[in-house]
This record gives sequence, C-alpha cells and structure tokens, in this order.
Amino acid sequence: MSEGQPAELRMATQIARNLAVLGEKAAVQRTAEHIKAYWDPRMIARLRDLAPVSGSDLIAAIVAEIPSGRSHET
Amino acid sequence: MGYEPQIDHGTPAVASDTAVSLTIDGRSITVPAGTSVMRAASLAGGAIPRLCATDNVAAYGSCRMCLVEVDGVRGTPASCTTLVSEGMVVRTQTPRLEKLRRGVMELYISDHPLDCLTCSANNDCELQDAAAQVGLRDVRYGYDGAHHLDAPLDESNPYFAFDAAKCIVCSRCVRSCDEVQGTLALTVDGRGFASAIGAGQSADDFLSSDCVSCGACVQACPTAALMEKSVIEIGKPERTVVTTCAYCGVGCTFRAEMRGEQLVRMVPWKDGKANHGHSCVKGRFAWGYANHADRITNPMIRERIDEPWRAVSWDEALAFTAARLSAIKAQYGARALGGITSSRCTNEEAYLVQKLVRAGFGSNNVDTCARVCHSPTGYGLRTTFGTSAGTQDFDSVMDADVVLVIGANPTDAHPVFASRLKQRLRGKNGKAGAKLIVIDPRRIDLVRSPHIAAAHHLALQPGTNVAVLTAMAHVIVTEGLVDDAFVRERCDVDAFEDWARFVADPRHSPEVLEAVTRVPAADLRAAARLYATGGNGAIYYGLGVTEHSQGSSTVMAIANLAMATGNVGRRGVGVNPLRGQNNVQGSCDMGSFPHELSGYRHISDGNTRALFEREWGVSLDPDPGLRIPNMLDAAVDGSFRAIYIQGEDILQSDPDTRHVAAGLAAMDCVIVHDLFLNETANYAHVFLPGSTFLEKDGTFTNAERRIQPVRKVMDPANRDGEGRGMADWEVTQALANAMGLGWSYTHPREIMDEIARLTPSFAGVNYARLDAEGSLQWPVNAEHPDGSPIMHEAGFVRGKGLFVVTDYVPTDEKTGPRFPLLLTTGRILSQYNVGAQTRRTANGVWHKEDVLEMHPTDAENRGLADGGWVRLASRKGETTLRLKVTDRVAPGVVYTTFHHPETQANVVTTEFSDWATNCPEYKVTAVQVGASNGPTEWQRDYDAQARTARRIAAEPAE
Ligand code: SF4
Ligand code: SF4
Ligand code: SF4
Ligand code: FES
Repeated sequence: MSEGQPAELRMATQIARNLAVLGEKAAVQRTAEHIKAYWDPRMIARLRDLAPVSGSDLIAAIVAEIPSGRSHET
Repeated sequence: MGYEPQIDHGTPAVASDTAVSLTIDGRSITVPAGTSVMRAASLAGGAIPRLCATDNVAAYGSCRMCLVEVDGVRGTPASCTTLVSEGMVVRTQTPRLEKLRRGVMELYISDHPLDCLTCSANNDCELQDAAAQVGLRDVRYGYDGAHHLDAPLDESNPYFAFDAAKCIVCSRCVRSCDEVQGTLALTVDGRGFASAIGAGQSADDFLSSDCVSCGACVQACPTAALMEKSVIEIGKPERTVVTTCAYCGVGCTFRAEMRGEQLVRMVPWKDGKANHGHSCVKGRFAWGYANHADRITNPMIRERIDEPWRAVSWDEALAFTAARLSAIKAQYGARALGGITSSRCTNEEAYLVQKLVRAGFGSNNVDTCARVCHSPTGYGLRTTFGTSAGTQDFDSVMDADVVLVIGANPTDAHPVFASRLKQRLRGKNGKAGAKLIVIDPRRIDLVRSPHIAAAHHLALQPGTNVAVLTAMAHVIVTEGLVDDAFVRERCDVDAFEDWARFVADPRHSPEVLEAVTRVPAADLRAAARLYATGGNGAIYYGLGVTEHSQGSSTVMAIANLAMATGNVGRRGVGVNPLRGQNNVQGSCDMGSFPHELSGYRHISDGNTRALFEREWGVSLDPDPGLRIPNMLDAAVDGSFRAIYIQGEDILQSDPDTRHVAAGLAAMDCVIVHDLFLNETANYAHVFLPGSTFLEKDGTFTNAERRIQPVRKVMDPANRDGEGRGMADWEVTQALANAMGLGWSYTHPREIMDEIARLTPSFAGVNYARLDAEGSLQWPVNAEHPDGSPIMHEAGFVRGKGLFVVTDYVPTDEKTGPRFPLLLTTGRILSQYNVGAQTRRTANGVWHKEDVLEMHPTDAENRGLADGGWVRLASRKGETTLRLKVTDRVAPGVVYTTFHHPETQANVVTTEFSDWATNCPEYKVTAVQVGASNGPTEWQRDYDAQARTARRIAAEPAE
C-alpha cells in the first residue's frame, strides 16, 4: 500500500467492524474464521507479525483465535 | 442446404392451456387458443402471403395480403389478426383471394424500384417472396404513382442503412422499436401512399435520433429498406451457426450468418431463451474487433519489459514461458506463482486455467475479474440462501408486479433484459404494468423513458446502500408487513428474530437515516410499502451494489428483504444479480476463486480435494491462495513473482492503477494471453495471442445460470510463422504440457465431461444435451434433471434461509475540504468494460471519450463549463477529461465511465474494498474537480511508458 496502514491490518479491522454488531466476542471469533477461510497463509503470517506492533487489542484478540498451521481438514 | 432465414410464423407464439383444432386447406391442426390463423397455417407447413406481419411483433392488419376465406364467415378476413376457433375451416388459396392479393401486390410494386438483381436483399426479400407467391406478372398501374423512389439514403448509422426508396411502409420497424426494443425512436408520418418512416424529429437521421442501434427494425424489415451494411458489402450469407454473444451477462444467442470464413451478420436467435430473438448493438453489430488491425496474432516474448517484443513460434514462446515459471517455482516455491481466469472466455477455458494453477503451478493463487465486480454476490447469496447465483430466469420478470432496481443501469449495461423489463413495466393485453422502484445516486434512463415512469427514485448518497435497505427493512418490520408464514416455514426463525430486533431499532428508521442517505423518509417508506405489499416483488441489482466497502452486506441486506416479504422461490420474484461480462457466472462456477473448487466447494474440504486429487493425479494445497489485490501486494513484497493472465486487462480495470503497475513491474514473469496488446501487456514478458469467441467451441453461463454453447465458425487467426493457430483452451493446454503436465483434451466437450464428473451441480451437463436442448440452467443433476429456471422453490439450498444482521458501516473514503465531491462510476450501452473490443469497432460514434457528469450547481461554484477539460483528482492520483453538466447526478456527486485508457479513471480510485471479498470500492471515491488545460503528468508519463512497452522488433529474431 502506498499509504496508510498495512493492508492486512486495514482488512482485518474492517472485517471486525462489519461484524461488531454481533457483540465483541462473536465478532472476534467470526473475524478469525473469516480470515482463516479466505486469506492466503502468508497474509495470516503477516497479520500475526503486525499484531504486537499494531498496539491494537482487537487485532491481538483476532490473531489469537486464528488456528495456526495448515488448514484443518473438514 | 444453403442459407435459410429462421422461420417466421407471422405472429407471436401464444401460451394457453386450451387447445383449438381447425382445418386449413383440408389439413387439420391443433394449436393453443389465441393463436392467429396465419400462425396456425404456418405451423401446418403452409405460408400465407404477408407483408406487415412478423412473429416478433403483434399483428397489425394493414397490408391486406394475408386474406383468407373462412367457412361461414362473410368476406375475406386478414389471417394475421383473425384468431383460430374450434372447428374452423379455412381456405388460403381461392380464385377470389388470388385476385385480391394480386391487386394489392400491384399497388405495392407500382411504388417500388424494380432493381431486384442489384438489390442487397435479392433472394432474401419478403416482397419478392410475396410477389412470387401471388403470381404477380404485370403491374397495371404503371410506375408513376411512386412516392418514395427518389427518397434519400440515410447512412448515418455505422452498421445499417435506411433506403426509403425500398420502403413499403409496413411499419414493422416502427412496431419493433416500440414493442421489442422499447425505445420508440421511429414514427410513420403522413397517410396512405404518401406515408413515410422517420427516425425521431423530421430533421433527424438515425444517428441523431433516440435510436440505440439495437437492429430490431433491421431484422424486422421485409425488404432492403433497412439493411445491414455488411450485407450490402458482402452479399447474402450461405450458412448459419448458432452461438452465444461474448459481451454481457444477458447471454443473447445468435445465428452467425457466414459466407466462407467471413461473418456476414449476426441475427438474434428466436429460440434463444435469454433473448427471444432480440439483441443490442454490441452483440449484433460490434464484432469488427475480431479482425481489427491492432489484433496481435503472433506469440511474442522478451527478457525484460523495457525491451521491444520479439515475435516467435508457439513452441519457442511456450518453452520460454515454461522455463521461466519452473525456475521461479524452484527458487521461490509454488506460492510465488498464480493466474487469473477470464470472464470473457469459456467455462472450459476458465476451468483449465484454474487447473493449471492448482495442479501445475501447485498453488491456489487463482482469481478472476469477478473479484472486481460480483464477488460479494457469491458471498452474500451463499450465506443467506446457499447458492452463489441469482434465483430466477429472465422470463420470470413477466410475472413481477413490483420491480426494485438497485445499483444497476439495465438499459445501458443489460439492454436486452432491459427491453423485457420495459415490456413488463408497460403492461400488455389489459394487464397493468409492473411498478418500478429505482435506488441509484444517478437518474438512470429507466427512471423516465417513453411510457415508463418509476413510482419511486431514491437518489441516495453513494455508499449508503446498507443504510437505505436497513431503513426499508425497518418500515417492513415495524409496520407489520413481514410475510410471517414464509419466514416461519422457510427461514431460520432465531436469526430472523435477531434481525427484526436490529432493524426495528428507532435509530434505523428512515427519518433518522435520512441524514446519511439523503433519501426523503416519506419516499423511502412509500417504496418499502410498495415492495412489501405490491404483489410479486423482484429485485434486480448490479455493480452499484457490489462495488462498495459494504458490497457483501448490501447483497445480504437485499436477500433479507426478499425473505422477509416472502419474495423468493417462485416465478415473478427473487434476487437477481445482473452480471457484467458474458461469463462472470461461469468463471465463478468453474472454481476461479482462490478458496474454492468448481461448484463453490471450499478448498479446505478434504473430501472435495480428494476427488480432484484422484482425477488430476496431484496433491492440492489445502489453504486458500491470494486474491488479485493480495497478489499485487505480495508482488510488491517480493513473495509473488509470476502470473498467467487470460483475457483480462487488470491494469486498466482494477483500482489504484499506480499500485497495480507497481505490482506488475515487480514480477519476474507476466504472461498476457489476449487479443490485443492491452495495458497490462505493457508489463508483460510473454504475450500469447488469444482467439475470439468466433474461433472456438465451448460454453458460456449467463446471469440466469444458463449454460449455452459457443460454436466455432472460423479458424483461429493467431497463427505463428509456422501456420499453427490455437483456441485459448488449446494454448493453456500447450502451456501445461510445456510444463510436463501431459494433458490430452481433443475437444472442449471432454473438458465439460470432466467438470460434470467433479461438480455435483453440473452432473447432468454435456454437449450432446446442450446441442439437443439449446441451453441448460444449473443445477442439472438427479434432483433437477431438466435444470433449474427458478431456485429455492421447495426450500432454500442451504436448508433454512438465513437472515444476517447487516450493520451500516460508513466507508473510510470520506469527503473533506480537499476532496469534497463523491465520484461514482458506471458504463454506457455502446462500450463494454475497458472497451478493448468496442473501442475497436464503429461503436466509437456513440462514445468517443469518457466524460465527467456534474450537477449544474457544482459546476457553477467551480466556474466550469459544459464540454470543457477538467482535472479530476483524488488522494490517489489525477486525470483529465471533459465535463458534462447535467442534473442526472445530485449536487455533491460526479459520475464517469471507465471505457478508455486515455482517461484512466482508475488512477483516482482507491485501495478500499468490500470487507468480506476485497471487491474494490469503485463506486465511491472522494474527489475534487477543477479547470484544466490538458492531460496530466501521469497521463503523459503513462503514454510514454506504453509507447516504449508496445514496441515490436522489426526483424523477426532468428
Ligand atoms: S423500413 Fe422496412 S420495416 Fe420499416 S416500414 Fe419500410 S419496409 Fe417496413
Ligand atoms: S435500431 Fe433499434 S432503437 Fe434504432 S430504430 Fe431500429 S429498433 Fe429502434
Ligand atoms: S451485449 Fe448483452 S444484451 Fe447485447 S447482444 Fe450481447 S448478450 Fe445481448
Ligand atoms: S400480413 Fe396480415 S394484413 Fe399484413
């Protein structure tokens, strides 16, 4: 991105904001699920790297909810 | 054999449950009640002479050629206006009829030039046919009663000519323009023999009139009076092949009428279930790009993008490409490679590209241009209903009572559907017209056009769709207009209750939300009541819904409204995305998204993956790959290095052009597979020449999930020095094989068989059935053996319909002192998408450049004049274009199209996108507009870069 925050932070925050109406806990959970279902692993990894430096509790909470490792088989 | 026009039964087909039997010339026949005697005679294998009747428009009864005798009826009634009745006995040929018809014919011929041999309609003229049928041998009136013989020729339209000297004033053209197209551009002036056909006002010619060049009148004309210029130039066709339009998601089918390998004309196919014999200017006329001089037909490569292109053989190009891809994969891993499938190419071609990426490159980095248009439709409808597609066929609109059009401009973007919609809005045969609600920031043509006026036009502030729809839901819930029975039986009731509580909150009332939406609350309430209580309510929406930061929320909000009012699961209702490009639906169905395989099955699903792994003999990456915007970000970061782009021009069509250019420039291998050196190709290392839809077999799937055949009518023109040409699917296969994949498809039908094997919703689809039935609407499987015109009839595909609470979250793109105006974008009829095809046809006469529409007040405040150059700037970039001052847009809003590379409207669009799918927010950009005296620095730099990048080495290397 040529300006503003890194794309992964911006996108994760935006998803959470659109799900905020569900209440904080559910919004964090659903944001994490959404990211796991639609994001490439390197984007998830970057979000993990950015979480501590972002200073955002929301992002930290989301990242904590994203299962790590390869996609779980369903 | 040889050329035959499609059979014309004289009057339109009638649907009726009652059958009527009668006898015509001693033969008995049974037809639906309400059928004309003329049509019955034709169905019985006869042909009553006629001039003013044709089966695209209602009978008119003016020419008196089609007279018949009916036992027990006095006189000689006209067979086109006489309806069949039980036991009727009809005679079509008697001495009395013969004499009458000859008399009529003589009158016509006395005012018609007798230059049949040199006439462009020679041997394809209904006046000749009628003269032959009645045995005309002599013209007693002489030829001096002529009124039309010296009438001037109108050649103003680029595609057809009007020769009034050949006109017999049958008014078929006038009625086609009225009944079929709904434009009403033509009139009959004067009476009797002195009457004449005119376009618009008396001073107008076809080009300056309201005519939109759909060609319905040309098709209806029995003589050479209205004739395609291509026929005038080339002559009569010799054979025909039925195929599907490659422009928009309506999916009109055509008879491609050929002479040798030369296309003479495209005539809409009357049996086409999407278009019923109608088309727009693009499909019928704008095919000249297929052999435009700009088309590149030779494979080309270069080491670096600052070098000129080198034309090479297919073998060399493919070997070069495969070596580069393999080297990148070896060094950076499979996830550094990816591809983009095309919504312009066939299903089979999109399927092969995603297969190449997943099975060959070994990553899931595949996406399609639907990302930038309808990805929110997939997400939203799947979440609420359970399928990523519209619910109805187009014909369903004929049973709608209220039509809600939101963020779509059908008369420009989906013209043939718009014509059907207009027919329904106007009413017919005593049935009142449907009511229309338009939700759009701009006053689209549909709001007010001949015989049509929207009941409500909610001119919302761009970016507030969710707020408007929530306010409508508020009215429906709080005023007790919910269809409780439907909701209880068909939907998840808990979810409904959560949703109802949410929307009923007073902060979602139209009165409160008026502050953000700028829609007067009273209007909004009235519109909501009309949709909920006006009978069958059908919603049609377009990119004005999806291309927003809340695109997916808006689609779900639409679905919520339809469920709450019980408007899903039968004819006349439903939720209908109007798809942009011809095969957007198909490319999505084929597994073009990075997270899902064909038929919308998630890549993390082990069972689905196993199915593909067995068929393809590889193991698949279980994690989703990169979407287009993510690919570009990753390219700038260095983790994504090679891309194969089939039939898309992402540099022109995707937002934030500078960022796209930076991403492309950072890659080691950009492969562009296209007809032209498009803008993206400026950054490419490999150019693989593409083939047009006329040069290949395959299928397209239109906005109603209708899979239709595309048929090859000529050989691919992309022949290298060795004379080898390939359809696009063959090129992808050759690239796969250069990488050692060992594919061996000999025909697209084998690719479709593989798709059907692997995709439950396509299980019953194959070429033999498509040939026999013309088209199939998915799902086609054991449960729906004949396909599915209407979905969710017995219950929602996901089980219970799911209401989803959609909170209005304003976009981050905000106006402020620096950028006080909101820019929204759209398209117009004569151009298509980035214009790569249409700009290379005569369609330019209607749209030479992109213009910026601005309200008079805003123009005055800035001292800007209509027609002047203005500078359009956002925080992302700036461009220049001409200004059009109009009250179609509200104060504070400006509007433009994005058909021309010179404008580069996407230089100003931003990185913001839909929260769920990353579909870019094209429809809202904060901008400032000021006076300008010419192109910006960016436009000049861009032009210089493009010139360098497009150089082709004069000498073939070798
Ligand atoms: S232009 Fe053709 S269709 Fe129209 S009135 Fe004349 S002959 Fe009939
Ligand atoms: S081309 Fe279409 S719009 Fe134009 S006059 Fe003919 S029917 Fe009407
Ligand atoms: S562009 Fe669309 S409406 Fe026009 S002919 Fe083609 S499919 Fe039909
Ligand atoms: S065809 Fe019946 S009156 Fe003209």
